[in-house]
Amino acid sequence: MSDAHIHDLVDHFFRHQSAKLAAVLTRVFGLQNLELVEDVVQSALVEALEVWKIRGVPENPAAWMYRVARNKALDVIRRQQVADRFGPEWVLWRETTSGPAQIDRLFLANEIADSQLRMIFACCHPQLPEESQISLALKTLCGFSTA
Amino acid sequence: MNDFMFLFRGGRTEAPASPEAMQTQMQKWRAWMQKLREQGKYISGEPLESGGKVLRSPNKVITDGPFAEGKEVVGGFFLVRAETLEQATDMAKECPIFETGGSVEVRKVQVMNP
Repeated sequence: MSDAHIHDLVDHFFRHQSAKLAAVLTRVFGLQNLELVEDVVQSALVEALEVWKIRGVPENPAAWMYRVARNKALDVIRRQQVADRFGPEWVLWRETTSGPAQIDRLFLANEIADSQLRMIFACCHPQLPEESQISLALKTLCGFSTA
Repeated sequence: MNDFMFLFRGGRTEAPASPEAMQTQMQKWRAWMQKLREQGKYISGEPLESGGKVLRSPNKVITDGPFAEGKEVVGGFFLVRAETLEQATDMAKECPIFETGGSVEVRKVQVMNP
């Protein structure tokens, strides 16, 4: 295992990844679906942990995690598309996304940074009370737990 | 040296665990695996996806599963080297799975002695 490899996982890897995934997936699903975003993030992190703890950490952990998150997001969208046929009121994120190509684009480094910036603005929205701004920022931007 | 298998049951991260808690768990598993590697005791390991198919005798009836209690299901395995079952068991004692409620089954791989 190379030093760089080990370095990839030190400190706050899961927390940082959780923040990045939350920012990207919010662009996929929309801020109104933040709970769904959190579920997808959580399930991507858990999957990474469950696989890595036994097989070892892959060469590029961040890319691996993005792949998992992307696939989970696509699963959700596909399921929702099926549901749409029966209940057309579920069209919240229709306008912003849908295909694998659009989601892949969001995982480019500059797009991740852009998503995080959008998330910062969203968390600081003046209509939110200050405590909400802070707790939202700690949770979605920093990956801290609310407990 | 003999080969042994560690079968990991249960101990899956229960949602919602904080990213920080997952990080800690990950570090512990890495440290454990690294230690076994450095001692030349680790051979291989694979995680298993949950769910699958079970075929039963005599008519090869196929069911989805295993859906036994979550803690009974094998989530992955290690293949390791040790001199004796006791030594392998001692190695398994350091597994971080016990911190998340899982268990480890230690089994010797049978060899065909000449």
